[in-house]
Amino acid sequence: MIEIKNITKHFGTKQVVNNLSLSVNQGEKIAIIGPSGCGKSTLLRLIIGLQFPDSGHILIENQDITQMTTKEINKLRLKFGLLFQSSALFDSMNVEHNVGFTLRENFKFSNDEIQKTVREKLELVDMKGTEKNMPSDLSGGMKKRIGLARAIAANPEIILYDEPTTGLDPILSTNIEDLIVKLNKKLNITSIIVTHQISTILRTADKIYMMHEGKLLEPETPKTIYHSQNKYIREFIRGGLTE
Amino acid sequence: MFQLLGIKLISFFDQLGAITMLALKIFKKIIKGKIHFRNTFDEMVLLGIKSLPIVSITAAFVGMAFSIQVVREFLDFGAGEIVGGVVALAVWRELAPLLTAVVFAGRVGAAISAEIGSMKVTEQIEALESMSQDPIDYLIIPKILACTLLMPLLVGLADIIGYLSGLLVALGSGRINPVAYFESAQTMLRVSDISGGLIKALLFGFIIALLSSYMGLNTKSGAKGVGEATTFAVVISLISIFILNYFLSLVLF
Repeated sequence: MIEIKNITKHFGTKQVVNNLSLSVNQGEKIAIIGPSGCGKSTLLRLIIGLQFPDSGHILIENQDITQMTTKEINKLRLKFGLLFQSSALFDSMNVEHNVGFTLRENFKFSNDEIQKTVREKLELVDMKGTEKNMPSDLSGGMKKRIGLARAIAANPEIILYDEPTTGLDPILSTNIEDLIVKLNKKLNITSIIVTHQISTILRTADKIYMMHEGKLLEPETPKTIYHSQNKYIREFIRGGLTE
Repeated sequence: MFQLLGIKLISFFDQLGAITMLALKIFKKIIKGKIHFRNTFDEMVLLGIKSLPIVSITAAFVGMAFSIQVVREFLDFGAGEIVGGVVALAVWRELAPLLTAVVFAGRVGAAISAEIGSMKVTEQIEALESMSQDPIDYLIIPKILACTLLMPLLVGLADIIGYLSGLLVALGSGRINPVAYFESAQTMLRVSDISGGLIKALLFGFIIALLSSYMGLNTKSGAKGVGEATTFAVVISLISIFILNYFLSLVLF
């Protein structure tokens, strides 16, 4: 379970997170929407400890990440998988080494075990046979899939998706959304999806939060979001549909 | 004008402080044994292969150019028998360490800064952190160790190539005895000249890797940022090497 209690975060004089609280249960799929630069990606980085809040607490299974040492945070991060907006594949490594990175460096798997797991995860994201390809040989959609395979390589309990479908064509976008749903069902992973894409929100999340002025508005569901009582949510969704 | 000067000075000391902190962090981690041996070995092989041809070519031509000047002038003064010693002293003490460091900064320093900088702007550094790897342990320390250990080897090679190519030019004049060339070097060159040059190399390797890594880690976003960080890494490495070389020459010889 993830529990965020009254966190604030400034970059210089700009406040990007303002007394924000959020609770995410095991196996839950939530989406966080909001305009560019509203602090959605920052929130993901705060959850995984890549950045720290100025005040407030972030509890991951009752362990407060804001009070931990670097060593403790690194241990806690093993529970997470993070899919970056840019995929962030290591361009000096081939697909096999990218996907097997955490298994090799953190879990000290043997080469055979790594190869076996990499094959399994690549199959799960429909990228079988690409083990020896370099990231530069892959298209944007393929990179996202490999990034996803890397994020799930060590069977994490929580996956954070940073704009998983932004910049992809509708077909690829649907493929990635299907994958997110498939992974959640198959592995009972807690998912937090930060996105702009309306289709992604509707197809992948149980609960949808909109981030506005550094805070999360009352959550909606895919069924209620079109008829939301909140004008910011309505405007965002309508804007999304007319884009 | 004074305000601008003040801002520049504060920024300089701010950067110097940050570089010192990075160096201390690296020392502390190395002492604690946080060394990624596989990455360090890989870096040494990669950087060695990258640097070997340019270091060899530079050393050969610098040795020959220096020998041309020395042979011509010394023969006029009837001091041809000490040419070998003079070439050896110049190559071992100054030319090989300094010029190897210059080409190493241009080739390897730029590559380190560009690699780390592009990893930073494409979120690869954050990806490392998100997978429980400290970028200092995984990326920086292997590069620093590889450069620090590799530079003395490269300078040792440059010493030999520079000295022998000097001999070729000397022999080409037809008035230098090869035996005298070697004997004069044997007489004039002390162990401290060789070890001093290698100590310089060790420090130059460390400085180049440290400054290039620092610039890479502090790259601002975008391709322009990577370009600027790379250029600045090379410029600051070269300036630091020349300054350090002067003080090391004062202390070591």
